[in-house]
Amino acid sequence: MDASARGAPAGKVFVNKILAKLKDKSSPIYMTDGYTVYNRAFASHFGEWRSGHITPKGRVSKHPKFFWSDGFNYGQVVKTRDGDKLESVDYVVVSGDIPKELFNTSGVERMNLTIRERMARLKRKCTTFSKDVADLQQSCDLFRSIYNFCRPHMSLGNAQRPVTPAMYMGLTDHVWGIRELMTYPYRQKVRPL
Amino acid sequence: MGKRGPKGKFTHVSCPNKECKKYGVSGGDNIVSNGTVMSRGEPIQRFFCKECRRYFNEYTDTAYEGLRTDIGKIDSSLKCINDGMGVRATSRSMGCSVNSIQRWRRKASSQSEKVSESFEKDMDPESVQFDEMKGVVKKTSG
Repeated sequence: MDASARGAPAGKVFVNKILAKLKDKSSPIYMTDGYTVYNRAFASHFGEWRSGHITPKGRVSKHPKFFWSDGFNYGQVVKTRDGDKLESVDYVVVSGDIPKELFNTSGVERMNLTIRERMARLKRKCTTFSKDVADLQQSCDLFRSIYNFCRPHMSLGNAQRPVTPAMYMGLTDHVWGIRELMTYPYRQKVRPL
Repeated sequence: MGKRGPKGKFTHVSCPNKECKKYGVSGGDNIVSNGTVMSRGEPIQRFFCKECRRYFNEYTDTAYEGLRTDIGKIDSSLKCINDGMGVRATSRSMGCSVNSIQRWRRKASSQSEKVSESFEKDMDPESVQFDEMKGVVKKTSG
């Protein structure tokens, strides 16, 4: 979660932040809405301009063309609206080979609702809004950590065996309490044991 | 060796001093216990690092460092904030000032971000979804 203004620089920072957390050889399926900022941010990581490529007509092109990297799977779910009414949903494969059943942004859209419900600063049409971006960013960080480590997710486990997102990703093996999160010696993870 | 036998070994504790050569290294023999101090009506274990010769306790370099309020109250406040209550509503419920809640939130945020950063690396998810949402940030007059 990154609290900043909308635009290309903020999108690039956000994408860089996420990519820094992934393994070098990790190749997940990236899925966004039709916002072109992500497209440009990904282009700086997964692609290059090449000249002298062969055109579909079999000629050697003089003009450079942008090519996405092999193994980079990126799709967009583009929704067209007429006012409040949804007119159409288009599935655009930007790069790679993505099956149609994997096209969705429902996970992150549901996450947006959870954030709206659980963070007073991002509720709509009320007076609990932030007065400072730094405070909003701090609250986002706190929310993210507690959500990932302390809050069991209903769709990942069940009542008998609660599972948090961090457990699902294999980062921890139990549900953390707030006190454990607040007193965890993070420095021991930074330095090799 | 004292009357109570050899001192206990604290192999799970590491030195929180960033200038120490053994910063963040646990399992070494540089950390020894150094009695307890009373805080919030409970004894807190103190430690001594033989490498940098600094004293610290079990709450040093955590979100509770330097705070005197009962830890249960701080935890409850953080739960309230993380469950949709604003800082003013939380301060009314907990019976403390807004500034206290803000201070606890800032400390908790700093700590939790460091913990998250230490865990969230080299991840290999199946899919990653990006999205943006609109929020209001503005100054109020007065």
